[in-house]
Amino acid sequence: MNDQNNGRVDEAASSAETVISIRNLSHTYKRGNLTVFEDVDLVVGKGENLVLLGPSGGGKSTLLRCINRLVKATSGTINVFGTEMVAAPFRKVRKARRDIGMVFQSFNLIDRISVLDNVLIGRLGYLSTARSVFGLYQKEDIAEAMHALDRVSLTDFSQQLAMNLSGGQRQRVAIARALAQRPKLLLADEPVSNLDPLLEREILGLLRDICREDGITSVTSLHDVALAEEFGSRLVGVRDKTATTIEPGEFNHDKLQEIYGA
Amino acid sequence: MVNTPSPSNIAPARWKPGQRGLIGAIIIAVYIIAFWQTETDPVMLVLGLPDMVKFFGSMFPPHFFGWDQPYFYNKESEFQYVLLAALETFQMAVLGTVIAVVFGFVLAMLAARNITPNVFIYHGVRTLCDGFRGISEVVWALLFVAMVGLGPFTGVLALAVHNTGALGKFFSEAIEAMDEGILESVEASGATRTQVFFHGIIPELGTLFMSYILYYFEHNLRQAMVLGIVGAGGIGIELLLAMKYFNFNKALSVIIIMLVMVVITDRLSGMIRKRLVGGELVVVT
Repeated sequence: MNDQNNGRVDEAASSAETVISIRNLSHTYKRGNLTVFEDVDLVVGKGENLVLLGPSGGGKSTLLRCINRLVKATSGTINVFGTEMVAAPFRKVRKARRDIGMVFQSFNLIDRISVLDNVLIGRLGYLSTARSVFGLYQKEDIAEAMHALDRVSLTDFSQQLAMNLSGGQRQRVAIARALAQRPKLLLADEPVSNLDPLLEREILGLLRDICREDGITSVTSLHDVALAEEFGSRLVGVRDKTATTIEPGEFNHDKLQEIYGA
Repeated sequence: MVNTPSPSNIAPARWKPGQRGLIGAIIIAVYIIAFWQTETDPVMLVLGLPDMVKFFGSMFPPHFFGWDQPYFYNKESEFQYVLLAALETFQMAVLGTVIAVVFGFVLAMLAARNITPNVFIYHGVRTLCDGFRGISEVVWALLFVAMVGLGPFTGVLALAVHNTGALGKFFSEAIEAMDEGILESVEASGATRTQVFFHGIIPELGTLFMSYILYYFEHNLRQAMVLGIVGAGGIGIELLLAMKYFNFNKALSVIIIMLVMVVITDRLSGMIRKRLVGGELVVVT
């Protein structure tokens, strides 16, 4: 199983510059002694729009969070743009995180501050701690944030409080926050599962277009098969503690059952 | 059939009737012993009422007039000095609170489970907070008197230390209860711990923190008045001396000044709190 997987992975790696290279990754949550995945190997090439597909609780979110080390994997290695994320000291992790934007299921905006201030959070990694304590953003930071808001068509809302926005707008602000980092890699954890069906396509389309225009590599977790097929350049099934690439055309009823165990 | 209670699916009563009686007897015994040991006697309270009325009578009128007449025990206790002492009490409360807020935030960042650098620091700082908080301001003042002598500085230190522990605990618990996603999203941008605090935690929890701080400022003002009694500065000493020298008119005037200060502060902080949260209910535990 693993050999087979490695074969595919290496093929993908050779065809393009590698952005993420995951080797033998295992993670067990200490609380509850829950093993989420074991010996996962995965390589993501530059410009790919990878979609992680699988049931809730199958480890997609944890795998994404291991990539920017919001979760520290128990063992194995994850190389992102040359930084070994699992073992790196926190300072290096922080530096690496600047290149990795992230969008979340529940948007994670701060309600009581303005849309612009929320987007400026994406600039923190480039700001000295002393300046940021007093909120002394540079002119370039504000320009960058406004540019990011422009990309998601929310320039007019920059001074609104985040709490006054609708669900779709909130996720667009979150996307702008990630874009303000000038990321080379974008992680999206179930970005549309809190949105209604019309907005799902709008948001995923926006993410896809932005990634295409800027040459951003993306890894998105989704649980909806139709959306995954429509928006992913490659699909990876995450379940039963493993991650396996799903070849195009391989998608049929049997495969679906295998992934979802339905 | 499934829902029919039967001896096998009903949980047994927690206590048997005999045990219940015994527990009741123990509770009543504890109360009786407490009454006896503390010499609590309602009859004394009733019998003492006339004396109480006489005592209050002797306090009137409060000494607000004739400031130029010095008191026999101390020229410095002319009335303007009482007002000065009241101002000193207020300043002690302000300084004590501000210092406690700064150090409370530092400790909270280390003592909140979701952002602490490691588990040893977490437990260590938590214990430190409990220690600071577990000893009351008056006891801290007695300890600090030995260090820096009598005076308001002792009072400021006492307030600062106790409240650092208290605010550290409440701030850290608020941080632990906050939306994990906000922390994640700020951390994901490559922010430092300090940046996470100023750009994630403060914007998200600012109003809650503010209501804690106001609550503790009110508390500190009342405590600062008591601290004077152990010689840690402020208006408390004026009350103690007035009582000691049977100068009840002056004692009443000091008590009235204290009351006015407390009421004004409570009203003001109530107004600020209302403005901040816009009528939203913020629960201070």
